[in-house]
Amino acid sequence: MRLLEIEMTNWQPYKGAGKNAHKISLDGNNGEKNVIIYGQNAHGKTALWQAIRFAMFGRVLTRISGVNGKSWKPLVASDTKDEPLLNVTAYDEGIYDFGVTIKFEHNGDEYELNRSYSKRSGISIPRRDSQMEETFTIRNLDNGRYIQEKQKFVNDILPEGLARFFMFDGERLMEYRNLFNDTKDVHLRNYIEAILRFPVLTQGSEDFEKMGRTLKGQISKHASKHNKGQAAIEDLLDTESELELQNDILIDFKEELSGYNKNLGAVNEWLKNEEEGKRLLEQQEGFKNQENQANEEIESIEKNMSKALPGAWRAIISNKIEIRLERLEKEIHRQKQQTQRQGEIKIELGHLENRLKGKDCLACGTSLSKPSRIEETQILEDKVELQNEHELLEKERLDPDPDYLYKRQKALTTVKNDMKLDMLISLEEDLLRWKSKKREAKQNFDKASKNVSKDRASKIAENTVKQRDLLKKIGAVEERIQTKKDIIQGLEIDRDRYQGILGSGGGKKPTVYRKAEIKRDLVKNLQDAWDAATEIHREAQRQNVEREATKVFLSLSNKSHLYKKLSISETFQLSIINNQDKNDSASPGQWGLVAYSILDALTTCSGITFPLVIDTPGRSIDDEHLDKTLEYLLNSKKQVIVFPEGSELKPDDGDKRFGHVCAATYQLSQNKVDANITDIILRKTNLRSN
Amino acid sequence: MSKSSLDNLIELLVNECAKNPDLSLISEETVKEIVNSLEKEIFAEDNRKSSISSLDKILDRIVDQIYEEGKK
Repeated sequence: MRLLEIEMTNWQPYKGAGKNAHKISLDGNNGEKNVIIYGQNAHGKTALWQAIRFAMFGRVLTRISGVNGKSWKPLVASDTKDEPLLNVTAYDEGIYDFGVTIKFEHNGDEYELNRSYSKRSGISIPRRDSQMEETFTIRNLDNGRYIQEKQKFVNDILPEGLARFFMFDGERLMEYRNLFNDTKDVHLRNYIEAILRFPVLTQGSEDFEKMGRTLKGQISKHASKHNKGQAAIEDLLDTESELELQNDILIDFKEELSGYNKNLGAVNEWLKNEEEGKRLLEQQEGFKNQENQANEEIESIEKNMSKALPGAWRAIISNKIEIRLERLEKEIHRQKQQTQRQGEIKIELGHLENRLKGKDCLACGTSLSKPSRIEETQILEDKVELQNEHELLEKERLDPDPDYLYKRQKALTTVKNDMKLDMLISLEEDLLRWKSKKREAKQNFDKASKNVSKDRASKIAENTVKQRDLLKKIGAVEERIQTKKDIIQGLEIDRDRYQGILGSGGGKKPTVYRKAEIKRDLVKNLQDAWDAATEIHREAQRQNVEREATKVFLSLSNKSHLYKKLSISETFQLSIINNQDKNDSASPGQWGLVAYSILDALTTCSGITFPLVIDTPGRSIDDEHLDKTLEYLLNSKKQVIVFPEGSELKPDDGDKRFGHVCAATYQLSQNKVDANITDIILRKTNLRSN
Repeated sequence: MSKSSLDNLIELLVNECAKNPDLSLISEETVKEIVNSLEKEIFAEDNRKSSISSLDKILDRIVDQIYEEGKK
């Protein structure tokens, strides 16, 4: 978005309407887009840049509000001390209409945005905001159409929460510096994350998770309708409600953890500023890294172990395999003996048959005499007995299936001889080793803080005790969170099981049920993909800001030869790293530059195109750095509107040095007749209309 | 989010989706749609309702596709 014109009607000290409304043009003949507006203190500089903010968002902060403040100026009041938006002289004269119109170019089209107020009908003298009525329009000047969702349109250009990064007061530059340093204020840090659109990443993951939860609830309903098994339905519903409860508790735990982490951040920040505290933190960081490394190793080993063989089986496998193999061998041996016996029976039966028929002996070939009647009866009885035995053996021999027994024997022998067991033993040894390393690192971590507290000044001791206490609490909450997660995981398994029981029993599932299942799986997979991608993205963005800010800072600082870079931690804590690779405390002036550099880097990396509007730009930096900063900003690709106070940049000097990169320069001057009115005087112009 | 950074996020997501055969029907266009929809609702103060509703609509199309393919 590029501003082309600002027109103010009875806006704060800018009294005048219609032809007498005050205008600032920003549309240069040769594409110049910057504007410098010179003015002494209390001559309406702030009111002018607030006009842009009002046009966009319909409200402006009072002077006493900090960067994180929330105190809004009233629309009307009869006293300037109340900082009303309607010009006080106009109010005294009975004129109650005021507002701001801005023209701007956005995505190739020109727009005119008007936001104004007038008194409600039936009100003779408005004394409260509620007695005023707003008119808000945005028109596309290229096609003449009015925008319907006006505020949404504006928020798409620049969300109000991010305006502070584009429109800021140099006087409050140090508050912006704190914004990057203050680990206590999560709210402020959220703004930094917001401008980089990190909430898209976290909210995206949360959105998927919420969708997943809703879908699982829907599937439970489908499943309970699909099959009327009362017991399973009740179990499912109980599980669902227990899940809901446990998830609520988990959220509470997470909030508790976030509170402790916030406090720990503050304590660590304090310690960082103490020499000994810093040493302690460095030592702790080393031990923490060792512990983290041990954790990673343990996790990886456990994964490998679970891949190699399931845990429970692993513990009893050797013994079980031996017993099973022994049993199998007995079975196979029995079957072999039975087969052998069957063979013997067959021979005996053949022999008996030959005896009955008076044929030659099968074994020796001698001729057999025909048996007497009594012998014949005996032979027939023996034959039946043998046939029965054969039949019985045949049944027993085939149960279990010999093929199956051989296959099992082969498989178990393979497992028995497999290297996996050796591998498991080796993994087990590694696991023990890393667990012991982890214990050691943990003990050292605790020892490090105890050493400090023994012989150090009470404040450090107090803070290290606080730190220890917080770490203990964090550890306990993390454990509770883990336990809760395990419980939830167990409940989810139960829920899935009940859903399965109910879902599988009633024939074909209805389409809506099936689709809910497909969607549940899709959402789960998408969430995993999203989490993996955003983790990489978040880090890349942080590095971008760090790189951009370093580039600007080193190009502006007169001590750049002493510094290596700006460092931005994962939580957006900021530090200047000197050539010795140490954190440098640096002077307030340097920190002023850091604040500019970070603001510039954040706005660049945000991808939001909006003018940088800077009130009293030199308030927190010295003249030399102000010159360099203005030089840099006014020659950058961004549209820049600066409001220097008289001593910061003298109008003649400013016009001479920067007039050529500006669409125009203006001077604000107090009206000679009425001190409540400011006049705008055009100085240097490259405007299109001229 | 700057265009290049947004593109970067989209590219990363497309890569992640390509790794998972169960996400084969999520095209680059769909990924863009998902990211843009989340980006649009970043400051919505409605407890994420509109964001989830937009996501729902996008995913419903894919679910229909998967369902139809499953019938074949």
